[in-house]
Amino acid sequence: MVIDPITLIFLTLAVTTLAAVLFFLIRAYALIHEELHESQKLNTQLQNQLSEKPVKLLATAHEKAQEIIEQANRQALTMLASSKEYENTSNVELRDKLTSLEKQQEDVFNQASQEMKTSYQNLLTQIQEEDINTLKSMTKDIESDILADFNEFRTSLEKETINSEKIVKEKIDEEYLTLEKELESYKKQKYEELDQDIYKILYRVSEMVLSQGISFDRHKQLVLEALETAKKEQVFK
Amino acid sequence: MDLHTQIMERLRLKSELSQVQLCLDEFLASFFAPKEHSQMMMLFENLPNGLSQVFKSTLLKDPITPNNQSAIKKAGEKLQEKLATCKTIQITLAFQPNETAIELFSDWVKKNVDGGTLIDLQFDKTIVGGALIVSSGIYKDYSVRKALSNRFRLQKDEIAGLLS
Repeated sequence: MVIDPITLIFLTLAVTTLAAVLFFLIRAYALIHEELHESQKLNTQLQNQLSEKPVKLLATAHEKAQEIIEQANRQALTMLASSKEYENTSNVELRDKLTSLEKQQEDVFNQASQEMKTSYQNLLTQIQEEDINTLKSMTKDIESDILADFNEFRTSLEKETINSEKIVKEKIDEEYLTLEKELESYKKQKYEELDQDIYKILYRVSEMVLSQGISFDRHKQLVLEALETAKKEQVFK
Repeated sequence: MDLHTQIMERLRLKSELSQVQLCLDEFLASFFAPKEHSQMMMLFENLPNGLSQVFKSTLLKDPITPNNQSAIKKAGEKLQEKLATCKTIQITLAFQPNETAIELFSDWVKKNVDGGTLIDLQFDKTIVGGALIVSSGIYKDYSVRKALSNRFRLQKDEIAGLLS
């Protein structure tokens, strides 16, 4: 293959140009890289500086805050001390005022109770007088009522007594008649019983006399007679 | 004459019959027990009115042997059955009768009522005399007490007249 010399020169020039461009590029890259490295270092330094600064700030802030708190405490203590003083003074004043108020109240109550006592006593006396009057009038009324009732009761009692006497007399008469009849019947019954008893006595005496008087042979004879009678009456069927 | 007739001839009262029945019961109850002849005879020893002799001469004439054992037992049981059907008349008297009186009344009953009838004799002084008779559920009062009571009832007025 035959290469055209022009083309070859062109190519050589092109390659040379490209090599020169590449050289400049590499150099530029190296420079940029150095710059970047520098800037990174700077950045690190800056970052370190920045990280140390807030700690310091915080420490200073803490110190300041402590100071402020201590100052506030001192102020509060002074205020408390002053308020305690004020309290003590106000307590004493209040106590004095209360004592005076109590005295005033006591005086007022004493006066009021005295007045009430007097008015109550007056009222009581008045009521007593009224009661006595009422009682007197009531007693009179009751007396007159009782007298009227008693008179009425006496008249009715007299009437009742007279009636009762009549009834009792009638009852007594009736009872007397009944008793008389009962007595008569009792007497009759007793007489009858007495009659019966006399017969019984007589009968028993007769039995005794007869049983002693009957001889052994007569007994035998009586039994045989009884047997004969029984035979006749067909008792032994 | 058989044993029953012989006994009935001698029996007069119900109490005597009870005695005979008791002896027979005892005899039959101990029949097969080993007893001697004399012991058997002793059972009937106390019976009244010759009844003891009747038993000795009939039922216990010969000693009990295995040969006659059955026959004697049968005779005893038969007698027991017949005696259980004996008829009785209850007679209540006002006096305690002696043997003669009992014999008299028994003879009358056997002659006039029935040869096999016995008397159930009772005693009650209050009837005064005569007799109360109970036969076959019929009661009759033939006592002097009743006669006297009737007389008092009938002649009450006459007696009252005598009293006044």
